[in-house]
Amino acid sequence: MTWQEFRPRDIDDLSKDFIGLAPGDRVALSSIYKNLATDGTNIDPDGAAFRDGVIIGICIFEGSALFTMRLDPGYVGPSLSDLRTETSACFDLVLNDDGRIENLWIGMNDHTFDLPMAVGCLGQLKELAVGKRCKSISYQQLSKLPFLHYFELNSFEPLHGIENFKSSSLRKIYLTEECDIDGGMFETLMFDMLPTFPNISELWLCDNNMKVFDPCRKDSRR
Amino acid sequence: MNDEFLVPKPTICRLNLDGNPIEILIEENANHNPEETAALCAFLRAFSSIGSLGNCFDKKLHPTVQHELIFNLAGRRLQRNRALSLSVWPIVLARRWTASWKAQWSPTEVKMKVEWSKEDAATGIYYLLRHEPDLFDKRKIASAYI
Repeated sequence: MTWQEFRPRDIDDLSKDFIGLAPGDRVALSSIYKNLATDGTNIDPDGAAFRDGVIIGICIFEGSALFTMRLDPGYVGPSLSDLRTETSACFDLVLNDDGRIENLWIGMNDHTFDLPMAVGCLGQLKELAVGKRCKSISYQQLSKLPFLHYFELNSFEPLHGIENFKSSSLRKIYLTEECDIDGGMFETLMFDMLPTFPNISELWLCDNNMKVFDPCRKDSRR
Repeated sequence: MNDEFLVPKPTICRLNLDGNPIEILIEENANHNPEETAALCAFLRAFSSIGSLGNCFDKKLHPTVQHELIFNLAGRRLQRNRALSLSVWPIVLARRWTASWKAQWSPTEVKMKVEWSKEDAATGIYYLLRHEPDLFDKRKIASAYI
């Protein structure tokens, strides 16, 4: 079964396994996988969103492309709460009331991150987090997201090429402890990367194991 | 030593260093590292929009670091804005005195309210007055109100 073949009628089958889940709850990826890829096809759903205990959205990685779909296009209800958790599962998303993806958390993507072909699904994206196995990001495509204001990286590598990320909406960048940045990287970040974001207001470097300012003291540009 | 970085400055106002080793080195304690503190102070002077280092307000920062943050919060970056009209300065100074500094962080984070004391406000205002000589130039003041 491909994602195109996934039809709303399958909601009933899926929701049977998820009865009792509250909006914002999440489910182990393996459970979704079992429900979706029953015919052994190479489809690996990476996340799902629920409303009132019913799965309403799902994301599937196929190669380097991300496909998303909505399962109840007519439903209008309260916003889902943030699905982000600290579990080992690799993909979370939050849909807004229109069913569009608002927040996207990619945990263990070892492919080049690429926006989905259906860019419209991510047009409302406000928050994006990429995992430590993500090697690179298409910033030219990210630039097409007019509402993105939060960008979280768990690896420093994807930052390369960020000069192509033309975003006036970005407010906050969070480099997690997974980034393991050193002073030189910090210097590059502050002097070469951040100035490309005119409205950036916050940089989070929590728990990075480094002496941040040591290289700045030696910086020849002072 | 010239502390200025000859690069464009982003508008970043919060550099969250919670959990970094630098935190310990810039606190007023036995592990205080003068070199690291000096480097951070130079950094804060260069990036004069930074008014917060995360939750460091909860801790006892070294006074030199604390002062640099107060000066930044007071509006040090305005000093570089030579186009700022003299008539705006009363508003700037009044705001420094009356308003607590409320940080509006990302919607995904817990909103934090960072108070600064009257003493901090006075320190910040004093810094601005001391480093804005135009405010005491009677000729410029006169021309501004003609």
